[in-house]
Amino acid sequence: MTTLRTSIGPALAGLLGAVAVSLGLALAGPSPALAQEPKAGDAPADLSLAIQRVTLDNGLRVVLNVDRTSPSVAVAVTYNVGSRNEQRGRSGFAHLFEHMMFQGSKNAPRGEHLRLISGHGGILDGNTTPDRTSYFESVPANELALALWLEADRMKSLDVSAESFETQRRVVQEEYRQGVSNAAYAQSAIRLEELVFQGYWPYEHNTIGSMADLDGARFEWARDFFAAHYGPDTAVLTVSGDFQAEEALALVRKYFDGVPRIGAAELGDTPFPEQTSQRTAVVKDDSARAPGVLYGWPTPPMAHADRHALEIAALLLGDGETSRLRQLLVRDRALAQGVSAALEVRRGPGLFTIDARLTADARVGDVERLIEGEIRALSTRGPSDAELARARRRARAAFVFGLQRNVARALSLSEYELFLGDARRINGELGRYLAVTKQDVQRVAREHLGPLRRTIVETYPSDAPAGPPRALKAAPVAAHPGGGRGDAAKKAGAPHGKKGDKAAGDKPAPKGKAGAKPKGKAGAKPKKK
Amino acid sequence: MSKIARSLLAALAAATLSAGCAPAASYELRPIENVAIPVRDTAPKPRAQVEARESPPPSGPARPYRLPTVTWAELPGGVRLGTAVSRALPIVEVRVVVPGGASADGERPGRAALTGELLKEGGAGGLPGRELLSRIEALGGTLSVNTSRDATVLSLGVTREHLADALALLGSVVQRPRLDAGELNKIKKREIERAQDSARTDGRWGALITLYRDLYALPSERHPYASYAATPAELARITAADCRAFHERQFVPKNTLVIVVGDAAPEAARAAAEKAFTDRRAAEVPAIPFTDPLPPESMKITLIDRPKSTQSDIFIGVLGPSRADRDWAAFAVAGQVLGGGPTGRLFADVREQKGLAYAASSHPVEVARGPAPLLAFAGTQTGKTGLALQALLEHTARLGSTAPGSEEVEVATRYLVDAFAIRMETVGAVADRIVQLRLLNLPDDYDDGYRKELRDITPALSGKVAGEYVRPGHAIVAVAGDAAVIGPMLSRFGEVKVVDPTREFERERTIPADPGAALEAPAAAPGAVPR
Repeated sequence: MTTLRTSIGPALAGLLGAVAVSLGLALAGPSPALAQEPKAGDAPADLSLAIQRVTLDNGLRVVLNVDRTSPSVAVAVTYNVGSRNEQRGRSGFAHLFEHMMFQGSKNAPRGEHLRLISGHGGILDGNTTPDRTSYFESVPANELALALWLEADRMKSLDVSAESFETQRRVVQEEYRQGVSNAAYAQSAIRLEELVFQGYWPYEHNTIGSMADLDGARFEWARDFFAAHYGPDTAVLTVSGDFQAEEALALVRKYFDGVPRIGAAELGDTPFPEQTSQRTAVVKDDSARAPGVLYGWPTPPMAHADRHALEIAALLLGDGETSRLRQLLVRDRALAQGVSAALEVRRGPGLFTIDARLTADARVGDVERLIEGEIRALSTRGPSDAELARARRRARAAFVFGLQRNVARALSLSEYELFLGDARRINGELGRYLAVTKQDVQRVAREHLGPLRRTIVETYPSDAPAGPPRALKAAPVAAHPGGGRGDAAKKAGAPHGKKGDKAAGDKPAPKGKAGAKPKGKAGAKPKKK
Repeated sequence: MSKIARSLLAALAAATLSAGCAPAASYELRPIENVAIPVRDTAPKPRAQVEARESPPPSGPARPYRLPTVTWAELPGGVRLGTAVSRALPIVEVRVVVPGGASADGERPGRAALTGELLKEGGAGGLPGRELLSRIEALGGTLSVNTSRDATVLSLGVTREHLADALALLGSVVQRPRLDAGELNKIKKREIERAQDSARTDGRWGALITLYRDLYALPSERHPYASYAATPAELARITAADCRAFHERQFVPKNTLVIVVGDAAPEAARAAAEKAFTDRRAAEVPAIPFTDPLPPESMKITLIDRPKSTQSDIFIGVLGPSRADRDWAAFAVAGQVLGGGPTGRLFADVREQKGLAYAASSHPVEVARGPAPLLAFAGTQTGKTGLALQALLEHTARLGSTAPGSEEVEVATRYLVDAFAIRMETVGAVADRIVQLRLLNLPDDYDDGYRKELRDITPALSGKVAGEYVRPGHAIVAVAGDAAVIGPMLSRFGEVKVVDPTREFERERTIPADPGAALEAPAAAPGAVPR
């Protein structure tokens, strides 16, 4: 599995993960603005990125980013289709189809695409998210034409067999076993998405899909899926690295101009139901040895201005060895083996998470109280000046370090182009992070990370004594000014109320619906009522 | 640490192809009946026209790539400083390298690793751990300490204006650590928990512990590479005195390298390093005795029991030539042919033809001393573990018995040679490569000659070298999975020792060889939930 979404390091989880793994930067030399060390209160640094954009007559959006650091070049083709486009009962199909895109095209029969790229010193891969599907190659600079030719070939003439579809179904099911049914805490992450995005099908189901839906997938669907979603007018082609822009554009026109439009319909708006009370679940996990606690809150879409402050809030809470939760839970209290906070940015509603893996003898309730206390403190008192300065520096370093790989820049630029309409929107992003103030952090914590909008999934080893160590007693969670936890809940000693699942407007995750919850694992159960 | 949520949510959200997905080696391709999917370009065409294929475009003129030149200097205390300039970004990566690592553990497996964690978190000089980490992270970077078989490596990347501060803090961590017993106890408790977690949840961890023990088994002593990772009981035995003794012995100036790569002038880096690394001890590090292990007389199979596991992690290991051996390049090509990336045989057959695995690969492991392992791996569903192991063994046997095809060797060598520049796109990757070359006792410009050597490898030579080292009849096999289900399948290949990873790999039982055993579990009943 690619590590692009997680390889940058601890900082800027969402930005560098779901949205901007790294930024496209013309780096013939360092940006003058970057040469200035920003200090708290200083004017924010900015980035000067060399980005050229062209749209072909057939609708293909082309983004070029020249960077001569290394004699290599990356090509990424990102299609405007992801698991959000899947119908109920067909979860996981966008990803399964991604596998099929490597199974042959008219001029590169099965195996040839991989052989040609590897045999010319290149590296390739593809990945699928809820919002898009990307295919990418990193090749020596003198092989740019080959990468473009291969991408154009499969865009216009995918040519695959029913036999390879069956094989890829089995391969994806092995991927499911590796990543879900045989992996500790993975089912809890899926359950969290189901609850946070409850009633919002595009994100309510995970991209990997359910085993039952994968079993039911049919080869004929692949034909329709390709016809509906894979064309030049649904794609962004990004080239990043060492090349001449004019020559690259000539090659792009040569190979892609002849690919006809498909006239894909835009995905209609699906209203995101507002969460009005806390949701909880318990997962019994065969693979886990110790309990875990996973929090999630829905956050605004990528285009929303609060994204940057929420990223900084995630850094303050869970990034590095000296973040608040790491210090408190791991170093000072030794209640957790690890803890993280992250913002996963999406084109639709995003997801803010806090994930704590407990030590075997820690009490879940103790950890939850401490986590909730830190969020409350952030929303009422905000970060100290020193904390904020640290977070800004780490944001800046993560940002700049994330600029290095051609393929990472290519993918990021594709997403900015696809999600925000203009790859150049990436310019100024660093400045927006550095401009986040203490008051911004307080406000977003208050507005977005309150108790009524949160979901908590507790994980327990399946062989733990009957019933979780901490009784999940019902306790009302009342809204109160500032969005902190209600006094009633505090007095009850229960950090989150079981009744949250039953509150008006909140329905439990659909049961019995294909794709509504992960199949193939008896241990993955919603909390019993 | 942010890694947990992202690694799960992001990994699940971004389901990927992972390393490509189709066979490249034509030897495995079977005729298939293609069904054309496109619907927008479906005007009937004469068959001959349909089948006519364009040729891929030709390559342009190749652009050479070389690692940045490394300038070496010896600091007054004896520390060696290497600097390499890369001004593409206003960043620097620093590595502090102390050779030894886990191979210097002696009779205390885990000692180097725990010492490394204690260095990172335990404070140094006048700074308690929290304050030290706070200062490091205030620079914007994250200190990581990686203990490998051959070294302890501290890594820190910062923007260029923080280089001197970063070196000062690293100098303090390496040369003036507190190594406090109270801090060690906290770290030890946490690391023991992690090891217990791994024993329960991580099949690869358990399989690799077993694999390395068996690959490097010696009759009457412990080989320095015999420990892949420390077990909970091994960690529990380590004391602060052990860590102090380890530090005293290994972390001396003459055994310390500092490497700075990025946007920094060598003179400035040297001035900052001289100020930061002031230890003047002249001690030498005692040599670590290495005795080459012998392969087992017959294939050795160990099953690491993970009850209820839905997937099995299968490893096959053999020992190859040493890294300095003239056979190495041909051995590396053979490893690439077997399972390197999406064009390797394992990927092409075990995954793309048989659909038995999502991950199937092989690679040689570079170690500083003595014979180096070649590992083959596949993760497969529990019920088909026997089939997957059979496929891995067949491919391993074929590699050792038959020279690879010329096209396979060409693809393998071009990948190994030409992907080098892509692998070196980051400043950190360049720094790590410089570290690796030093640890392997190879010159800084080694890769230039090595890539030429790779280009000259012929199928015959690759086959000859593989035949010398890759002998499945003497291989080590380690499989982690549900013993109740897969134990009988594995007995098809020989006697199976079943061990319990949650009890320090204690032997549970031995399953006698059964050449007639089935290779897969009976199909699940209709309606059963697939595992």
